[in-house]
Amino acid sequence: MTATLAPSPAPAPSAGRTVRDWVATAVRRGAAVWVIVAVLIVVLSVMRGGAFWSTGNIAALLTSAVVLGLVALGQHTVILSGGIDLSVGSMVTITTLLTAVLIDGYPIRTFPVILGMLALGALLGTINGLLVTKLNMPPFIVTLGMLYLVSGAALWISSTPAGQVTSALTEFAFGKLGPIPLSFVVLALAIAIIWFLLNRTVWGKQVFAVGGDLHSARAAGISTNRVLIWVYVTSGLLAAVAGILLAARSSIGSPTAGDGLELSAITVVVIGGTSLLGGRGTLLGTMGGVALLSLITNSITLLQFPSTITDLIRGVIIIAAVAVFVAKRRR
Amino acid sequence: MTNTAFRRRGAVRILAASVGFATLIAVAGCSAEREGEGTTAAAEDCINADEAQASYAESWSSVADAFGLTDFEPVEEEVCEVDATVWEAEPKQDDTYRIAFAAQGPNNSWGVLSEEALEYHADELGVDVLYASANGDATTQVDNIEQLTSQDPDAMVVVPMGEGISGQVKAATDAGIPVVLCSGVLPDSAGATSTVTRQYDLLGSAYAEWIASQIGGEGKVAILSGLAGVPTAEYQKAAAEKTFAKYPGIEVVTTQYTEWSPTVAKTVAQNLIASYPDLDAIWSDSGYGSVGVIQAYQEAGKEVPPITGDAINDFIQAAEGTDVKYALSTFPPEMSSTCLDTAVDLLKGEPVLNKVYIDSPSFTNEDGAQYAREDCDGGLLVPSSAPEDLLVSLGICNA
Repeated sequence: MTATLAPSPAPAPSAGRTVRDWVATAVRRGAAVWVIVAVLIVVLSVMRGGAFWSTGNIAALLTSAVVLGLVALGQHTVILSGGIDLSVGSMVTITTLLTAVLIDGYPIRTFPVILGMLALGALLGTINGLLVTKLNMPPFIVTLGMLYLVSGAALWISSTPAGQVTSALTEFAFGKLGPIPLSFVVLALAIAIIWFLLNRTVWGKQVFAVGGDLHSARAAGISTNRVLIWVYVTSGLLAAVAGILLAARSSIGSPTAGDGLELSAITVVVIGGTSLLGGRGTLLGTMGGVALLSLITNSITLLQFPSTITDLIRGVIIIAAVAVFVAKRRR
Repeated sequence: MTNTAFRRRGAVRILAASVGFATLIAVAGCSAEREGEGTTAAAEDCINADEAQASYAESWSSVADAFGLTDFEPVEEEVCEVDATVWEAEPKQDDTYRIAFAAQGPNNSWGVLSEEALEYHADELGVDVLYASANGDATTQVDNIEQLTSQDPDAMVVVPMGEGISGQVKAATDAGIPVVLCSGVLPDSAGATSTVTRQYDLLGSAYAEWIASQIGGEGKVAILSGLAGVPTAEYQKAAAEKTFAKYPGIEVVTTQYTEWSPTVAKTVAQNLIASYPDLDAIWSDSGYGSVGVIQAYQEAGKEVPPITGDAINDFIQAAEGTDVKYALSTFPPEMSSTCLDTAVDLLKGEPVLNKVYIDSPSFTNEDGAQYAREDCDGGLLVPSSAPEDLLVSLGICNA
């Protein structure tokens, strides 16, 4: 008689491994950062529920996310394609300044100036794209140069706050659709458009392909230069929209309006789990990053943290988020 | 033609027609006149005008006396009393006033002392402070003011980071919250209830007039401003340029930015020594910048030309025992406590001016040494009116 052994069952995954897999999946799909956002909302609801959920505070929170959100959408697209755009902050600055300076309180100029600013954003993006593709220059250097060039031009146009937007633009910036600020509706529309372009069009798939492996994409017949140029045009256009909305909100143009936005935009994209090497990332994650950064700023005021430790808190949360999620993603 | 091509062309036509139609609507709905023109409201009565105007003129005459300026007239400014009955109110919550404070943020020693002086005074007055830091950034401050407004405080004190916050200040006053601008100005359209500050025009032009008197209205001058694009620096520089333009014999040979840093200023000054060895005076808006200038000239073994700046402790100590001619004044951070007083006075219905121009000490090298504080940090603006125990608790001065 021979003893037959029953086939041994596959080893059950350990609880620790399951959690790691779950976290890795959440990071890959961009949902992980939303967990932190949810935790922060719960904490704020418990500690300052009334003040946090007040209509005014929610409107302020949503409005504060608009400019960063628009710029981050462009940065997300560029980083997905394997590049980086350090010039977005300066593009916001120059479009904010020129919107106010050129309109200068004349309602008849509003529409042409808005069109002109969108064209300017697209033009600056095209120049970035052409320099990166045709001259084969590193995106970091090209866009860093563009940052200085455009910032210098803004200071040359006016070294002090200047111009005046029309009351129609200001009313739009302060207007609401029910409880939702109108400017946030613009961000929501932009998110929908970029999501559609990246996930439902051939160009979107090509952006992922170019970011994943430029040479393979080229070998597969993709016109990588055309894809990359459009990526930078998209980023420039979104920065211009952000600049116009910032001018509308401030009612005046400032030569330093967009300073530092490029770093904030890169931060939220990385927090959202997008690979700085390109080819991997989700819009859900990047928008989670925007929500997290806006919530941190909002909570610092709500919870009245001492003034000297606010940057410390901001830095710890950002590093912790990136350390946990990026490390998990690598596994 | 295929059906697809036909449909595509049709879609393009519809899109073009829609864009054209939208353009027409947009342009047709727009006026060719500039907003705000031709609709000037009738001037309101200026309450208690003479007394208010005298307090304004005093801040100019005290600087003129200190710098020995004979022909130094204030720029035109209408100062009135705010109608006290409009903003008088009981606390909205409990029995304590809540004052929102949109601060610059602790990004330099000026910002730290500004905030701490206000908090210290709030404790003395028994009022609560709702704090938000802009970290020196106007865009962040736009968010801060919107968020503070949503908390419905009794009044708000704002250290303006730029004119870009005007819309939010207007929205706050429209919501029934009196806003006191502190250590800065905004256009009248912002509708701030009162402004408490040291005048940029006053400092910029007083320094320039002192230089003109030192060099007899003739010579080569360098302008060392703080940070490009920052209103605090640009407005003072503009006032100086306007003053120098009155003197045909004065040539502004260069304008540079020192980032209010002794290190950057030292490099700038080293270049000045090489490029303009015959410079007659240096207009500087900052004591930090002037410290770097003194170091560069001393290391090069050259005489320091007459120089201006704000009265930081480090500069006075560096100039002590030398022949450096200087004129200094201050933009005191502790004026924030006056801003808080103004906000509380508004709520209590006390008389308040719409523009409170702080008069702080100004002096030259002749009597500067007495203000040096060896027991305090080099960055302290002297003489400081901040409470001594506050300076000690912040580690700025020794006990």
